[in-house]
Parts: sequence; C-alpha cells; structure tokens
Amino acid sequence: MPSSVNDRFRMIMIGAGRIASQSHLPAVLACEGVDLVAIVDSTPGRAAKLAREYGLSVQIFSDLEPALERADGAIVATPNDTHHEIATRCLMRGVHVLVEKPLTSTYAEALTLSELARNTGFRAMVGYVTRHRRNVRLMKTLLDQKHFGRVSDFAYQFGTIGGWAPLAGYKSDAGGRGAGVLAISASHFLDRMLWFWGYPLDMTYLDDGSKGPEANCVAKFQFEGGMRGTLRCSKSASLPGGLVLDTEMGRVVLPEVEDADIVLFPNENQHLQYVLKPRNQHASPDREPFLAQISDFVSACKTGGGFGCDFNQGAASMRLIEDLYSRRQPLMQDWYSSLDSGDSR
Amino acid sequence: MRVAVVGASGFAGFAVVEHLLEKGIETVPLVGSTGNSWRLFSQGITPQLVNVLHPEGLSRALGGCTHVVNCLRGNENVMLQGTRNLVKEALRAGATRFVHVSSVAVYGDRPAPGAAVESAMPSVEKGTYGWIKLRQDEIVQRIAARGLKSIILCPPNIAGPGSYFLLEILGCLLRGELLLADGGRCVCSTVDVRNLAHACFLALSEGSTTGERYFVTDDERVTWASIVDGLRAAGQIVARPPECTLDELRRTSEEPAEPKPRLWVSVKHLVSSDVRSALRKDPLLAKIDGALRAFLAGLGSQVEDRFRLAIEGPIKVPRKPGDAKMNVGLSAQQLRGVWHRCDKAKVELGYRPICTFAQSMAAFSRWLQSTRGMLEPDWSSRKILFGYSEAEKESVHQHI
Repeated sequence: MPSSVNDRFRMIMIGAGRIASQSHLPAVLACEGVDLVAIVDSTPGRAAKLAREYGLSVQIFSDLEPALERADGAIVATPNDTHHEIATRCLMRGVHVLVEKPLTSTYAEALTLSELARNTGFRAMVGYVTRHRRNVRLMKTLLDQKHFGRVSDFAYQFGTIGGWAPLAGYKSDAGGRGAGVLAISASHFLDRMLWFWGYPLDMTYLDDGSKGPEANCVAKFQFEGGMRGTLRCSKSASLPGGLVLDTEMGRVVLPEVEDADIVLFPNENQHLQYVLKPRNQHASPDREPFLAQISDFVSACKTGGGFGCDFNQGAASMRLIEDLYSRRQPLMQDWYSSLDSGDSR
Repeated sequence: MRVAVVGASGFAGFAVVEHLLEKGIETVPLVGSTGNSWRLFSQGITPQLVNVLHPEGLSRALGGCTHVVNCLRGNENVMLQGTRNLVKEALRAGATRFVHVSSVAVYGDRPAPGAAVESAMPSVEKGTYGWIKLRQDEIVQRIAARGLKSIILCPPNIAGPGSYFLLEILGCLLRGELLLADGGRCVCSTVDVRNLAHACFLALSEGSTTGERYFVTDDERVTWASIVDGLRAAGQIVARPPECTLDELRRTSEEPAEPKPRLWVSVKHLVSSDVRSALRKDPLLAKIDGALRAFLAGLGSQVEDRFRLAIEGPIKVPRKPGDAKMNVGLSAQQLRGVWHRCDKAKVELGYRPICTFAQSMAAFSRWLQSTRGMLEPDWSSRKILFGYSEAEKESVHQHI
C-alpha cells in the first residue's frame, strides 16, 4: 500500500481478454506513477501472450491469490459473473479494485459488494469509462449548476451494426437477459443518467430479444419534477449517438463522441448556436478516457475523492437494468405485416 | 434436408436463414463473426463460428449438410479463397446442391443492353466488386463441372428492411449528395430481401444445376424516382434531390484518365517538399537534405526561387467547392440502363416474388421509422443527430 501520494502504485490486471488488451492495459502503462506488476488469467497462456504483445516482463499468474500479495490495486476485466467473487477477494485482501462494468451479474450481488466496500474502506469503482470524457464531465458540471435552467425532456440514442459479440464476457439468463444491447451499450448512458439526475420514478421498456439477447431496446423514464427521457439503442442499425436535452434555455446537444463539444441552440435566437467549453481547459488536460479513469482511480486510492462510479452507484445501475428487464414488452419487428401469408402475389 | 447458410449474419444471409426456418427446414447458420450476429442471437438462433479460410473448421461445420447456400461477404481473399474452400469442402461433405448468391454486378457497372437476360456475356473491370463476384461464379461453375450440383442466383440491388442500398440513398438524400438524372426516369433493378430468400429456397430443389445464372428480381419496372420518392416519404425528407440530364451525369461520372509515367514528373515528386519532410524524419537523410538546401541557398535567392518553382510549380488555388459533395458512384448507377428480367427463374425455379416493390418499400419505411423512433414524440429532438436540419438547408439550394 503506498504510504504517500508520491509512492508508486502497484497495479495488477485480472483478465487478459479484449477489453484488457485494447483499453485497460495501454491506459495502465501510460499512467504516471503506476507500475503494472502482474497479469492474472485463468485461461492458460492468455496472460503471457498479452504480456508478450506489449513487451512486458511482469509476473504471470493463473491463480489470483499470489498476485494479490503484490498489489495496491486491481483492475477486474473478467466475465461479469466472476466479478462478485474476484472483487470480494480483492477487498478482503486490502486491495483497491476497479471492476469493468457491469459491477456484477445481479443487483443482489452488487448490494453485498457495495456493503463490503463500505465496511472495508477500500476504494471500489466500476469501469463506466464514458464518465471520464471531458465533455461528459462538463455536462455534469453544467447540469449541477442548473446552467440551462429546467430540463423538461432528454433523448439519447446510440446504434452500431455489430461490434462486441453478444454474450462475450457477459453472463445472461436463459432468455439472454443481461447480455444484450441494454447491458453492453445502453448501460453506459444509464450510469450517466443516474449520475446526472438520480433514479427515475417510473419507466417503460421494450426490446426485441424474444428468444435471446436483445439487439434493439427502447426505454422511457419519468423523473421527479416532471422531467421525461427516452433511450434508444441498437446493435443492428446505425443510430448516430448522442444526448439531446430540451431545456429552458434551448436545445442542448452532446454527440456520443469522445472529443465532441456541447452545443446549445438557444430559444431566443434561431440563427445561433453556442459551443460550450471549459475556460480552464489547460488546467485539466484532455486525456483518453481509459487513462483518465485509471488516473482518477489511483488518485482516489491515494487521496480519496474521484468522480468514477463507486460500488454504490454501480449497484444502482444493476438495479435499474433489472428494473427495466422486469418491465419488458416486445418491440415491433413485423415489418411485412401487410403481406399475405401465401408464397405468391 | 439440412442446409448450411454461409454468411448467415449478413443482410441476405439472415433473411435466408429466417425464410428456411419458417419453411421448417433444418438450417445451420455459419458466420465469420459473432459480433455481427446480433439479429440471429436475438431470435434465439445460435450461429456456428467458422473461418472460411480454414478448411478443417469448414469441413466440420458442413458435416451432415445436404445443401449449402453461399451468402459469403468479406474482402477479396475471403470471398475468393473462402468460396474455393467452401465448394471443395461441400463436395467432400457430400452436399447434393450448392446455391451461390452472386450479383448482376458480374455484367459490369454499365452493362450492355443484352444483359437484361442471363445469356449475355459477363464483362467487368478488374478489381471491382463485380469482378470478384464473377471470379466466385467461375469457382462455382468449375465445381459444378466436377460434380457438385450448383446454381447461381444473381440479385440486383437488394431492398427491404435494413437495406444498405436504400440506406445509402437515404443518407445521400439527407445530405443533398444524390444527383437525380432525367427526372428520375432511369430504371433500377431491385429485389426485396425476402424475394431473394424465397428464390434461394426454391433453388435448393429446382432449376438447372450446372452452374447457370438466374436473375432474381422484384419483376417490376422500378424507376429511381419511385425509390427516391419512397425514401423521402419514409425518411421525412422535404428537400428534393438536385437534378441533371443523363449527359451531365455521364460527364460528372467520367473518371479522369490515369496520368502516364514520366521521368521528370517522378523526379519532381521525389524532391517535393512533402516527400522531403517524410525523409527528414530519418536523421541521416535530414542531414543530407539540410546540406543540399544550404548548397542551394549559397547559389543566391534567384536561383533558389527558380529551382523551387521548377519543382513545386506555381501556387495552385483550388476552385471553391460547391455547397455539397455529390456521391458520384451512387448517382452513376442510374446509368446502368438495364432492367434485368427474371423470366428464367420464373420458368425454371417456379419463382414468383412474394413481395411487391410497394410492399418492400412499405416494410423498409416501417423498419426505418420504428428503428429510428421517427413517430415518437422525442423524434423532433433527436432528428438533429441524423443531420436533418443542416441537410435540408443545403439540399433546398442545390441545383446544377
């Protein structure tokens, strides 16, 4: 455990799959003051292969225990049904932990982890990485300051054709719940939504996962104070990603792009748009979000604070996802409904 | 009957799987990536992952399959080597029929009028999509000669819910990038994806199996105007596309002739500032470049200026671009001018389209409006993310 902010922080990577290889590992290696000391993966050869790819001479383990002895903090990037057990072992051994989203595979598990983190006092965060985008942080600040006045409605959408494979790294129930587009893509926005506005009062939910993980989903929310919002995500159609707010000042748009600006289209002038940027951009340099996430996590471990998603908030996300799935209604898919059932015209 | 559908996650492949399952046929969906297989998974259909470049895996996947439908997509190597492996392994596995989904693109981007029927001679430019599809056809025809009963289906532009062809036109209409020629009177051969899937089903048991081609279309004389009008209505696009004559479109789409190699031009490229700046990244070459520049400077500013002018040429000011960049490749499809007929498929396969063009466009519209939530109250907020307001401003003023 580092005794001062200047001590090097010893990190271990648990899980050597795609998200570890493409995102977490480069971020750890780029992070000032952090040393990667070990990679752990239960699949033989995978951790060593990852280390070779990056030219690292770190220790390789297939078992977690010996790696924990060497660690101040751990990144858990394993399938979601293993998160509960691994994060528990980390916290019990006094190791701070950053768990890839979703926190667990059930809300009940998330609650027990959240309680454990509170009791042990170690830092426990969930990898909702989009919180660490510069523009998302700015949006949070502006909303907290009520910069745009009252927000009456919000609409969010994000859709790509394909991408992360369904079920890859996600455990689902027999009907595919927990491994579809809601858990994989929409959960990032759900975390931000909870961060911005808290838990909704009411919601409806539709998806097309009649027999497996859903590829399309639509959710509608009602919040305290009358604010309403919609979310629409797809893995089979392209939907330019972004959040649109209807506010007292006008319409506010934040595209789902790392370096996009927040744009306000003011009500009082139909010919202007205002681009919103922080004044002190030099004081807080723009970092790649995974690097920003690791920096935030390490800083929180050393000195407290941080604006990553803690386990309490991660549990709220799990509750919301379960809440939505429990209200599932089928999404219309019968595009040819006007056709005759016969084979000829 | 046990049918392997290769490329089952694609637009056509998924429709074939759905149609065969509806017909109660045992279907084995084969995919190259589960990341693109969301629609299959959401319907509870678990595909088999297979790399068509690895014959061993392919052999296992095709085991027990009596029929193969090939909807393979990918790069040139995947499409050609993959098809070679596929036909070889299908023959080895004892498949009794191979249905290959090709394309009318094998008759080229500007097909001869005779290409209205299958008996025309295919003709394509090397390296184009049509060229790859033609090479695939030849692979299938060779295996047919070696005993694997094979049939080649040639769809034109594939329409229907999620159609990439229609989405591309829609995007161009939104951005004002489509030139509509001759008042939209040009013919456009289309086939709804369900019609194509139905033809694949028929081809499993009907038709000549010596590797002959069959055109599969909607069997309707569809014009570009009807497509554009349908898409404008579906996409709620107010602006009309800019129009031009056929001659203007021909001139716009003519590619400039490739420059002939000339030694002096090549030398000029070699010593141009762009190339030198790349070479200067190497410390030794940077030193040599520095020494040469110092030598040139020593000859006096007039000599240096003349030399620079000889190498770089005079300063060029590009003409101010127009308000919107046209999608010439897509617009030029109106010059195809051939309406492919599906009479042969009707006679020999018993093919009748199960869906009219109007029904197909209605299904696309329903899909588009539902997927994008265009009939929901929040559409007015979200439409800005699709670029609606900007596109409409641009398109309204676009005329050539």
